[in-house]
Amino acid sequence: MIGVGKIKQYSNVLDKPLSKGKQEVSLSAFAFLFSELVQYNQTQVDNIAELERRLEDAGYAVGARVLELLCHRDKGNRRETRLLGILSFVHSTVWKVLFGKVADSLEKGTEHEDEYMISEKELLVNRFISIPKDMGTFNCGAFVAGIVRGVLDGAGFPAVVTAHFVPVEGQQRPRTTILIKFAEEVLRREARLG
Amino acid sequence: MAAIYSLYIINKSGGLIFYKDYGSSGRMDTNDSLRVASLWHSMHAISQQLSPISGCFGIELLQADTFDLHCFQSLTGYISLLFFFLSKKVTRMIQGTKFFVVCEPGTQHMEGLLKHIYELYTDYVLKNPFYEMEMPIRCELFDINLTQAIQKDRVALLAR
Amino acid sequence: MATTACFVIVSRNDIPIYEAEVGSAAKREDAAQLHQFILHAALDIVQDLAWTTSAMYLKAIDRFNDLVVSVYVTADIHTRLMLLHDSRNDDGIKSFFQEVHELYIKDCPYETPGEVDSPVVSWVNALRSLNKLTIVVQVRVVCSGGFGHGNGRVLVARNSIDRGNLPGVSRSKLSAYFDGCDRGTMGIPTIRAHF
Repeated sequence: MIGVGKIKQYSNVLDKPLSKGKQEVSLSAFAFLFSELVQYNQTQVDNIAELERRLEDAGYAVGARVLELLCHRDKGNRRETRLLGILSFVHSTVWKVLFGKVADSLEKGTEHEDEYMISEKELLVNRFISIPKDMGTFNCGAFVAGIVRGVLDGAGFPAVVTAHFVPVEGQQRPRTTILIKFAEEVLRREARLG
Repeated sequence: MAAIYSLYIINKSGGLIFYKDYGSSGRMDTNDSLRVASLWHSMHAISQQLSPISGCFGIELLQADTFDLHCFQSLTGYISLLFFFLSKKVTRMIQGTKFFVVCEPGTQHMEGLLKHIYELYTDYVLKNPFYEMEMPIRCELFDINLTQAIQKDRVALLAR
Repeated sequence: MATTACFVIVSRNDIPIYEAEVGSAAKREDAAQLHQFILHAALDIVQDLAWTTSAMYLKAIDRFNDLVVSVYVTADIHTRLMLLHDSRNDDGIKSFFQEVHELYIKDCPYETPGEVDSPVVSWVNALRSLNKLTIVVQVRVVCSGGFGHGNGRVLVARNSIDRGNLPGVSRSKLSAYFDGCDRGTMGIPTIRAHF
């Protein structure tokens, strides 16, 4: 068995300390697991929108837990109450733990006040995935969008989060942009908090 | 002038799942390439039976006066077949996914290139949730990375 | 000195996912309802207060006669750990909350987005689908001079049973199981129930 004798085995998850972070996971193992997740969900749906929604829901569960864990582990039990605070938390802290690096960019939408974008040149989950032509604009980044939504929703910033391919000039591959559109109540509260 | 003429990938039952032409001469149409693939599959199987010692993995290099053929067989995905060859009962057959390149005679370092292509196949084809096993490969990322690998190989060849 | 304490974890949409009466005071029949009432009334204050600070521990936010409500809001702003108590031991309560929070992170109950309005506690639901319910509850009361190690009657999953979400499990059976567990342990009651 792998790892026997190296890692202390805990019979109960509650006995395991929380501080043990930053453990690396094999990229191949993750890629195969994620591939299976997509394939399984594909068998459960009739159309692409439904597949996207299911991947997002899977990500949401990750996001909800990641928020709790990282606020405890990396932020010393401080909550995020401000919009920009939570966005930079997602952009740096969450990204670093999940993908080993800070996201490439975090921008505010130019057209709408309530839109923010996190862009990534090569999203980790898309590293080995080629979308067939007949699936159109489908992006497996929906899983990551779900993670972002889980974090934001948990912290009290409900938002609609979607993943899109955006072509980049002079690049063969498009980059992935995670578009975050906050609910009205979030902006109202931000204005009130000043 | 291209050192590599063409690249084939055939699945364990002999079907052509990927074919790419690099040379300007000797282009083949789809039917011909399919025929060559299944022909090679059979020759490869026969070569295993010709071996006086058991456990032969089949032809690795075929040399002719106008071309070399390098073949690499993956270590996984074997199937065992039961059939009769020259009235002798054969029970064990080694049939993995086969990658082979047809290149100029005397081209060096083809084993390394084939291993690299195999790596690309495991990364960009097998980890892709939209690829169905044993079916023709249509993966954009595999194409992009393969083109890069072949180009790099060409540059390395010119530098030599 | 007899002490009273009631601990509740409130989840999204103000659904209580965990309740425990801890304390050495003699149980009065209407006490549980009174405690729930006080805690419920404090929820509105928590909602406003939670946005004004980034601290998780909000200290004592409300009182009713000699009972005080202390609240701890986790990173998920919908999850509130609430303790109703009559003793003054701020540090003890804070470290109690922190310990419960750690346990909560490890066993993070989570609602799928589609089910947020359903009254079912989803982790209970998820486990039920495995035809086996495992409730691991660790209650450690860390106040020194405070309410001590009470013989806590754990009412976890009561909601689910009341709503008929756990067919085949009667409430008396559950209570009996917990009582048995309680008597068998000293200081730190660790309660496991398997169905």
